[in-house]
Amino acid sequence: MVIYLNERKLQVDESITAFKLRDLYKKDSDILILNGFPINKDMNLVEGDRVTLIKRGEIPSKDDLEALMIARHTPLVHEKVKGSKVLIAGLGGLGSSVALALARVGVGHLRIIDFDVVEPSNLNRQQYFVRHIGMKKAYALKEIIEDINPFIEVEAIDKYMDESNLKELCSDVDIVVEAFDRADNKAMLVNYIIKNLPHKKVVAASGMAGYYSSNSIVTRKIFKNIYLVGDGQSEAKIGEGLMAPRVGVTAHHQANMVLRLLLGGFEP
Amino acid sequence: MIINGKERGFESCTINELMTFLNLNVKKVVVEVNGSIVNPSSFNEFKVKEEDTIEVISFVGGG
Repeated sequence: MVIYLNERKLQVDESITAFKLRDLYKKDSDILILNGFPINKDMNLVEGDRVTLIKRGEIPSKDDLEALMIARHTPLVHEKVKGSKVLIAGLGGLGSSVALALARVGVGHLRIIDFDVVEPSNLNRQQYFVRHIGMKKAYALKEIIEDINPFIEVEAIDKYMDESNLKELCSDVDIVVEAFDRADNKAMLVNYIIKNLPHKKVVAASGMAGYYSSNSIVTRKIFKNIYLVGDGQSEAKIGEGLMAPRVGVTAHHQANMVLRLLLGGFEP
Repeated sequence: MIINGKERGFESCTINELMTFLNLNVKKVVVEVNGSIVNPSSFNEFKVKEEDTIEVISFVGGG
């Protein structure tokens, strides 16, 4: 009969049990997961069972890891997103969170762009670690993504985006995520793309400061290929800062809209 | 003139002037007139008329 060991097909004898399988293939493993549940007593295996053997603290080989990760992706979703290319413009609270969500879901190529360095004041909402302080955000984020999903391509670009380089940076990607901090930069990017790359899809954000209701954050389609996430009004200012939860809600709205667009859903 | 779904009593004017009336910064907006986005470089000459339908997206800072 056929079972799956660490997500790979394996032909085994009908009389095999979970513990016999472990002893045959990975005697030193101390966690045995059968069809998603850890077991601690021996059980008979049947056709199609999925067994995962883990040794605590051991990092799986790259091949094993990829098989294990792919197994968690929804079928057909992974194939589609793996072949897609997404640009993230700005790697602050929005961009760093959008990048990690898209990396986890397996978007095959991420172009991540920011000119700034990680500062202590960023740690309240951005996905960086203390050890990244002083490092360029693009390179710090690439390092984090590689720790999460080493099977995607990450192009880290340390650059200030403006009208002189937008076309060159955006023309070959499927979707542009606008994740800038300043309102004038946000408007510039959206206006530029509508005029110069009219078929490009953009997922932008505006209005996510404070700790107002999460339910006031919405995704809207504002023009043909242009989507806008946020409450539209809560501006970051003195006395009303940006905080991890609400910026995170907004970022994940953006990431989900990107995923929907990649999979062919065009409604917000 | 209908702006963001509401009837407003503005007379024909340029987009720059309209943004001043609405107390909005021209560098932070995307403006759609009768279904087309207006290029910001023409905000100072593009005239909106009383029968136009206008959508203004005004971005706020934070990200």
